[in-house]
Amino acid sequence: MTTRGVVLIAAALLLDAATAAEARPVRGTTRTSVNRNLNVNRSTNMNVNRDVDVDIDRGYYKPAATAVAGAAAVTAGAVGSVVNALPPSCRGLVIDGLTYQQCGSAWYQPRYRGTQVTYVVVNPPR
Amino acid sequence: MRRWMTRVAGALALALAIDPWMHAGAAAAAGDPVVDPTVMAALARMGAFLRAQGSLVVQAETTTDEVLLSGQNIQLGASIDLRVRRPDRLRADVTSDRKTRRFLYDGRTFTLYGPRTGYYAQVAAPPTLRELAALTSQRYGLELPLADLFYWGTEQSGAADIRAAFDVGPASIAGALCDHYAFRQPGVDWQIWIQRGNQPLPRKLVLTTTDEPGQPQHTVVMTWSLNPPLEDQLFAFAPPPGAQRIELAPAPPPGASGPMRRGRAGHAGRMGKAPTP
Repeated sequence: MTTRGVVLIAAALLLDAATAAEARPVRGTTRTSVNRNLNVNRSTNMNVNRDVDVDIDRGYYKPAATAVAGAAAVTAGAVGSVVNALPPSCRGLVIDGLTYQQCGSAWYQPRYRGTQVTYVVVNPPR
Repeated sequence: MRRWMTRVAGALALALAIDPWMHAGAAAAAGDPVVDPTVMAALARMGAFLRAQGSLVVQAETTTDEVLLSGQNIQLGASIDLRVRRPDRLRADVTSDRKTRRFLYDGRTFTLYGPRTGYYAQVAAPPTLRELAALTSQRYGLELPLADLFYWGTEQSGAADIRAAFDVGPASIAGALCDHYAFRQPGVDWQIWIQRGNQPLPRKLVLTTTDEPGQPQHTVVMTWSLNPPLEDQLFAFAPPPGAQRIELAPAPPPGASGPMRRGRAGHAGRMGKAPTP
């Protein structure tokens, strides 16, 4: 483990202590309007977005210790896959007018799915 | 079990003949769906009144149950500040315990903005609010805040779905005397409190999702301001410094699985799992 890695994990611990909230998967099927029968299911299986630069869109009451384990489990997947939360320690970039989040060697493009910010795994833009 | 209990409750209410207005309720509860035409007329009157307002401001406090996969219900709150100018202006500021969002519509462009993230998305918009509501829900799977307000009093109001409607009785919401009505339709039981008098405004709404375990509820309590002056600039979006434009993803086709799906296809397979990285 590199020194940098250790620093990042320490930062993640601090973040979790500050937010004291963590992922709790929800069914996300509560209806909020009478008049449509679309039954648009909001995102299920939400993970809290732990980067403080990103909205904490849905975090639920979970001990910080497990929160860190959960955070570590969020790793970049195949290009084109979508995640609801970024791993810790990302930085936002705009390259050629497109918005990215770089998290180590993984690159993501944020986008709204409904009102929820999600992240699409993309190839490095450069 | 619940059916048996409501039948017993209905029978008791009938036997006791508590109040004249309870009879309708007891009949509905007894599993004998009755759509009271006077209740439907009250709903239509409210819708017509809403349609007739040139501009309005609604401040709403909402609660929404989130059903955890364990079955436990967690209630989350939000505040909505909705400003509408017919036929083609909308601004909604939504502040929940977890996120803030601004919805802007100026007759040409729809903008979704997260003030805390700095992310905004824009799409070309149709010329009326009602078309906007249809577009965002159908193409983007995005429900406008207080979306029902844009449907009541229109042909799209879904009144045909209502299987039972009865008058619960008078009630007071934030000091305003209201009539409390209850409805059943596939997948949702709902209640509305409509202000009495010459301004038949919805003051409270409760939705109970009946086709999901836990029967989560969504409640809305509304405070109204009618015909306030609303300037054009309220509805315009100028990206603040540092704001970053991102895409508004199209809703996946019905039946598709993923972070957001319609319908219930593939539901069971994803329960209890974190998103596939």
